[in-house]
Amino acid sequence: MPTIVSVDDSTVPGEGSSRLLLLVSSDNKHIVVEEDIMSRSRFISKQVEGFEATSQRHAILLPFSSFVLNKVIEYCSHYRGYYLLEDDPDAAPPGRSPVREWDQEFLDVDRNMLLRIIKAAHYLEIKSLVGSCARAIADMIRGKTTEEMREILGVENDFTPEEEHSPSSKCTG
Amino acid sequence: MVVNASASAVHGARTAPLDAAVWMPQLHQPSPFTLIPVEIVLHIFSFHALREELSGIDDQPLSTCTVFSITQVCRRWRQIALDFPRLWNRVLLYNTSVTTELLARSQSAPIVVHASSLLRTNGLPSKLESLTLVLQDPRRLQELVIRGIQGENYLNPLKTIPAPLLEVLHLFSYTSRHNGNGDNIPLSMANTPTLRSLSLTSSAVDQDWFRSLSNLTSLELRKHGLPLGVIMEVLSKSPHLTYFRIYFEQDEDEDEEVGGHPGSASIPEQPSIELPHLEQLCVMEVNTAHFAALLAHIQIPINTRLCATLLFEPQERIDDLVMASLIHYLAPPGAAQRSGPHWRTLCVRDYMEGGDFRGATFFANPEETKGFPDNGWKDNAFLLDMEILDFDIVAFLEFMLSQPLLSAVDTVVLQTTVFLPLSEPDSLRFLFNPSLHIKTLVLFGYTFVVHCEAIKWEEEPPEYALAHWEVFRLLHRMPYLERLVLNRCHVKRRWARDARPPSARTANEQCERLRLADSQAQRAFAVEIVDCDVDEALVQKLWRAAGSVGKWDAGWDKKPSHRRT
Repeated sequence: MPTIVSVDDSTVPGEGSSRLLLLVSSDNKHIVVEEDIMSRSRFISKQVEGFEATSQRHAILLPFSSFVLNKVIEYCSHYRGYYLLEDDPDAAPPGRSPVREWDQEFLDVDRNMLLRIIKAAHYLEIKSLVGSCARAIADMIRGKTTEEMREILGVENDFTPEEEHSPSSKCTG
Repeated sequence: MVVNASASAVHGARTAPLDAAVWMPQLHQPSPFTLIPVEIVLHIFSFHALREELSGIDDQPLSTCTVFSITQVCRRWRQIALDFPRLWNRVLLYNTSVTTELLARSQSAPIVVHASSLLRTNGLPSKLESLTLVLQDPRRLQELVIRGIQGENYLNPLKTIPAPLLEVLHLFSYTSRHNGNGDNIPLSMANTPTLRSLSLTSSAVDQDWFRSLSNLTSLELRKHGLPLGVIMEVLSKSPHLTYFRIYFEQDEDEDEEVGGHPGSASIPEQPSIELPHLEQLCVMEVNTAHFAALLAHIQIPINTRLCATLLFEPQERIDDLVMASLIHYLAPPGAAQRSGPHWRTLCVRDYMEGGDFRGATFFANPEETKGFPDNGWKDNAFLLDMEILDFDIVAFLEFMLSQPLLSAVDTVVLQTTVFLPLSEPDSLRFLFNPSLHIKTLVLFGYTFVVHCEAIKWEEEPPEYALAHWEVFRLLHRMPYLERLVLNRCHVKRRWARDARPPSARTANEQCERLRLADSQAQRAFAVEIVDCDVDEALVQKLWRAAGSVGKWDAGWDKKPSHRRT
């Protein structure tokens, strides 16, 4: 769990009751963002519920860099006010995440960045973003040979020669 | 805003950053992928499993199947994959060994079987034994989609053992062979309470079992032998139906016939059925009477997408049938007008894949416009697929454009090479109707046949006559035309020493023939050439034909843009 520190209750100037959140990244960047934008994150929503219970606003420390955090905020800002089925806690989870054109462009980043985003989305419990990232990664390795998969994702072959052909090789012959 | 948080206080207590380990192979640090949580890896693996092309995958070498490859990458991947039963629940029918292994790996997860033709094995072992193995215990069966069982009763176990999880059943040619008594072997099943999607093609069905179905969300029937009354009964018990596709065609081959067809039965007298959630209704190869009767018996939402192919009987007048059916669709009795006034584009194209029946298919489904030129025309487009060869297509198009539903159309896209020959200006006479406000005309995929004088044909540029260019000379008489687009057109040169250009008609003769008044203003319009394999000579011809051209863009062949003023 991230550390929570006290923050004054604040609102966005000129925007009525829209509240602000202070997010602190692992590289110590303080990012102020409207609560509405981050409401897609179940993790943030739960934190905010906690604030309301204690009548105290806090900064939320997040264990990833400001670069990644800004990407996540960009995603949440884009879908601000949109209903996405995957993010509805009351809806039955869809069998598969739909293809969203904007997401494909948004996730056109290098492999390491993609992995950081998916980890951040998982941490923040933004299921729609996790789904889109998973689709993007799956597309990267789909149809590839085992060797190519290792290369693409930087995974080492740690099998012994015996393991490499057993037990699952039964189905690959 | 005041923030009472110091950076040191924050970082003194923070947890280790998830993204701290950036993969740097030169330092032998682990890849970020090895650090991500198991549930994310499973999510990615699941996408693999879902994204596999289920139909036909068992015709491919097993080694190309990604779901197997991921167990060969590393220990962690293998362990995660083997511990995830749902990854293995799509049971392939390669051979009994693989099927047995998959059934074991998927543990108690519901299983999904999609198999292409069981008889076409492409040199691989027969799938029949594997299928039999799967169907021995149908209690885990969730989806069964198979083609071409050709009369054998492999589904017999389903008659006695319930399939309580079965949600999807799609069968193609299940029982097309008669049994010893000359009767068909109808599909019958034990209890299938969760069945939601049923598709039967050339598969005889036991009426009692079919009658027991309810709460379907998707139903497709073709050559099934069910009376229409029974079908309507099931529809009335399926208020959440979102997709309904039914074929009315006659089976011409007696040996292949599996029973009656809806067209042979009259629509039963019964209350109208409400299908408030129906998203798409496809009525295929139906004659006008049945089409109208069916629509009258089903109450569908105003925004239901409709697809229909019309089957014409020899004694019927084709044009009357088409128009009557279209009117019925465009303005159904007792219902408000459909969402047509928003249509801005009329797309007409040949329907080339419908076999030899004569029919017209009209789609109001944006999905059906896939593959059409993506230049904004798809938006709000009424797409008309046609295969009508022997009636007055021009009158038909005039009729279509005169319908209130299409009154807002200002773009006409013609993708047609059969019944609207450009070399005959009469074919396009509807475009000159001053009551139509056509601002954009798109010719898509046309082949311009160029007759070349071959005396010195190797010299460039060739002297040739363009068979269609007289038409272009007339287009500037379209009262509202602003833009002519040639998209993915190309030139086919017909070189021959004795080639002769087509008989030339002057523009005045054409105007007289088409009864275009001299007083009609000649308008300048822009010509756009997009992704066309045409040469500069043709471009020059078009430019002269248009009279005044604002801009030409040559896209596909990467030639620089041509500008004329």
